Amino acid sequence: MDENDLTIQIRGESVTLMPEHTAFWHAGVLMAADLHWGKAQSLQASGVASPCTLDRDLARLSRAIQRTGSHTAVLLGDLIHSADSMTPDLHERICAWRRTIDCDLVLTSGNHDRHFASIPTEWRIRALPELWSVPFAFRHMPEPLPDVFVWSGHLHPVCVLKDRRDRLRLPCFAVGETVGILPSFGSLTGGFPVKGPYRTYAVAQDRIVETGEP
Amino acid sequence: MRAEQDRTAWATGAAQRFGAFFEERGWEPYPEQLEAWETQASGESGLLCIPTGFGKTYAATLGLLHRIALEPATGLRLVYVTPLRALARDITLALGAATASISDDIEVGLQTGDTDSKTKARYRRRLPQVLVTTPESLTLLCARGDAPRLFSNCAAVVVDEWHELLSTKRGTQTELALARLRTFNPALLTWGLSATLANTMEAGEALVGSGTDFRVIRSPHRRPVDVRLLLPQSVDAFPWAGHLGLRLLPKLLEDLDRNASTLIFANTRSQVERWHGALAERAPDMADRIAVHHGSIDREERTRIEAALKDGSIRWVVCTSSLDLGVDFGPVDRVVQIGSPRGVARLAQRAGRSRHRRGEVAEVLCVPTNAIEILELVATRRALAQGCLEPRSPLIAPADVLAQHMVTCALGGGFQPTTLFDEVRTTKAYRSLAREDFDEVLRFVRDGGTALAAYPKYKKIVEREGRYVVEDRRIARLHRLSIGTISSDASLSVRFMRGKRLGTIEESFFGRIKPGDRFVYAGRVLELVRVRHSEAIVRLASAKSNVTPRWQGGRMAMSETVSELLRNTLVELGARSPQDDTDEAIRVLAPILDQQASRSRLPGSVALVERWRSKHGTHFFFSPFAGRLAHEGLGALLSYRLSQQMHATFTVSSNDYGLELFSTEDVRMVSLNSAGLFDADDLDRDLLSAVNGADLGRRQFRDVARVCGLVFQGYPGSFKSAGQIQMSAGLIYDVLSDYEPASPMLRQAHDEVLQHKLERGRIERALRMYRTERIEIDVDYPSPFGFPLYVRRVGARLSNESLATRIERMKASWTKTT
Repeated sequence: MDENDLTIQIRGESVTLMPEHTAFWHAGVLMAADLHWGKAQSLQASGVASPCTLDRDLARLSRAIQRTGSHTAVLLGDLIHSADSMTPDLHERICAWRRTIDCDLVLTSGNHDRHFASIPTEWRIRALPELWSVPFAFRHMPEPLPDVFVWSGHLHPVCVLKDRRDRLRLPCFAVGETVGILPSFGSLTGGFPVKGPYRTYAVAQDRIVETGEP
Repeated sequence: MRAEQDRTAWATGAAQRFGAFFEERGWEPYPEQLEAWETQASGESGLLCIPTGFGKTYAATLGLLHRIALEPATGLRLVYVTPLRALARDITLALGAATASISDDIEVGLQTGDTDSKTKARYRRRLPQVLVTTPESLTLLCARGDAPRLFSNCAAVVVDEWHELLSTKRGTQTELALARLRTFNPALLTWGLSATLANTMEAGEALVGSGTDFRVIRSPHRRPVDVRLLLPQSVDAFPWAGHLGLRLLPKLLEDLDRNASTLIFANTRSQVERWHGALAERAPDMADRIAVHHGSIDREERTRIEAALKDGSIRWVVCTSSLDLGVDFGPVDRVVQIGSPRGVARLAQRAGRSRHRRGEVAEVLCVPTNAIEILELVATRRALAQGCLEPRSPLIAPADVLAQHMVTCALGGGFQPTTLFDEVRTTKAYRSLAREDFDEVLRFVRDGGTALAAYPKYKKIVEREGRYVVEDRRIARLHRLSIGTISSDASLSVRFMRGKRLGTIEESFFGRIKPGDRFVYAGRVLELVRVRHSEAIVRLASAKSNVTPRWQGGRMAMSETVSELLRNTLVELGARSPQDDTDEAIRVLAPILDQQASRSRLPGSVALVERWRSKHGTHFFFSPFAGRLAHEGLGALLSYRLSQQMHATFTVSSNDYGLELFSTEDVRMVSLNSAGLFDADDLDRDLLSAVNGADLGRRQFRDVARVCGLVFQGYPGSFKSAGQIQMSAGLIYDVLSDYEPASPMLRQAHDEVLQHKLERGRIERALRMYRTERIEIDVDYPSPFGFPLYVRRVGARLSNESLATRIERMKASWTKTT
């Protein structure tokens, strides 16, 4: 871990929040939420000239996996953006990327993932409704579960900082008593201001800054 | 002699055909009408500069209707384009009355965004011969697959309120549509109606396209405008910071006539609400005969107010530019202007609302809200007397409008690139467009730009046998829904709990207040109950409130014409004693001017810098009189360049007359002579870094992205997969900046920031002045020109701090407030 990361303690476990929009549980598990692969492709199919950010997004995920030495990466849902997303080209690029990654990939399926009956086998991603590993559980929707702390995504949290003359809107980690929400990972995803009893940790370009308490 | 000529003309052509129509109404054609009809009869295009109330609609159309009647043909014959939907109905009725007098067969139809679906369906099958429409609906017709056939018999187009469209993207869009129509029918005549402009020839060229002759017909009568100033007894009683000085209110009330229909113009919607509240409070007997009228108030309510003003149940209407144009009230007895109108043409237009009849003097009473505004009003009055109006120039080659146009052409029968390039170059806006720039936009539309060229899924337009067309029906539908260039920020509709709609307020305002908070809107004190979906539910509040919503874009900068005259006025004042001036306004200002001269120098002839060391830090006051926008940019630029040279941060505060740079550190020793401070080299680059160009660019990009089709907004009904193709313009801006920094759409956004948000040209001229004619003076207290800047330090919204610093600062203030 380096100085731009920020490590917090949850249920006695160390979890490092990273500017890559990922979180690393020191048991060797990396988390990333709302990757929205293929959003550019579905925009393009509708006539919106969006550049494709997939390669850089994949590189960012590789970097996070490598610098933490994670043995497992849990993708917290909304992996594929929509039915228009899965172009042959996208499929090929993900296959190529997967061959470079030596790490188990688990997907806890989200609302966008309903577009697909199954994940292509070449991607070697195991899809589950949720994954439990006490004291944590991993799932897409940020809803509490008994006895465990839930790591989730779905909300694309951002926090808004402002004073009289300035205003900033930054993606953030939102950490409550029983639920933690990761910022969305995909570059082409927007965000919504978080409401509720969360501590927020903003991703300020290349570092993590604590920005608010409940 | 004159009468003799008129009679001869009356006996021929259009005049003869419409003779009975005029006689029945007891009208005599005006000479300019006769001239227009004859010019139209001879097959020429033209621009009519005739004030409202002088029969301009008939001047522009009867000669053309006459031609149509002479050469019968099927289909659409005449298109009348008006930028204001509110006017379209009246024009349709007026044209209908005229055509009915000569033939039963000429149908006059109306098609705007408001047209019901039944009529639309009928027009899809067959268009009327005369069609009244808006620029957007005209472009929509050009996007019909049968567009070439549709317009092949169209003899003429009339564009109303051309001066309003001219310097906007709607104007560019209209230019492109007109060029299209000329391709469909090369014999097309183009006529425009415009208020008097400083650059009539340029306006005419933009209208008819390059290489076409046109006639300019001006009304011989210029209506004299009488500008009266409401002056305070003495300027000492004046609020220095001059935020919304209501001090002249009692005097204004004395002057107002309770039985005269009066329009009271203010510059911003919030100013309108405040003056309305103050008037109603101080003249309780008038309370139910005063109304508020501005652009965000519900259309129905506005129509009601307009009617009530007509029938006399409402006497005073406090309004913004929403009542500047169109909507003929008939005679309004009086016009009042609160604060400076910021432009000569605007004042003339507003004055023109009074006694709207031929030959009468237009009168306007101006109520300054701070001392320097008196001077500005004196300058504006002079400009008006000399006939100096602001020029309105067409925009130059906006890439986003061209991108939208290409898709429109691809839908409307397809296009061949070289032919379209030649066609586009006949417009004033794109006259100097280089082929490579055209191709770049084409690449953007076709491939999504260079970054996307590798992804074959993108297919907005496709090439089929040398022509570009749209094949995907979904893309066609999305494009038709998003034609147009009018920008509107997200706004919420304001509604009472039991359902009556009051109008709209920008979303950002509701981000700052919470349920239970009170604010003033549409002349009422309201309490926010809740915000739900896109509605703000409110109820009437009993207590008072001083909170008024702020609307963006309400604040206009002082025009360059006014700036120049203001500087000239100051130069003249430097040469003589203001106490003995013949102008009462100048005599009132004498104490201020004397103080300025004795403490410091009168700005105007010199580029003045005043330096003052207060207990808080060091202040520099500049007075370039370049308008608020240019001052914001200039302030940011100077502080950026200074901070490159030394370790100090500056705060900028600015108004229309000058700017203040303030640093908490002792930087008195700073030499303004240091290398390059006022240089124009690298101006664009320094400006964009100084003002955090990325932030401004991102904001500006919202409009560009919508026009060029990168984001969609406003689907009628439900569009199934809208959510999946929606992405905020800010996000696209960031991604494009990363992946395709040379994108023509990013360049367009940056150009717009430089040209319109910062008024780069005026910054450049101010820099030149400060390079060559600078005078630096140490003062022991802010001078009258510096003081308002000192008091009203609005804080620099344009910040060049790093992200980390901004977060730390905001965290600090956040800790303090909780």
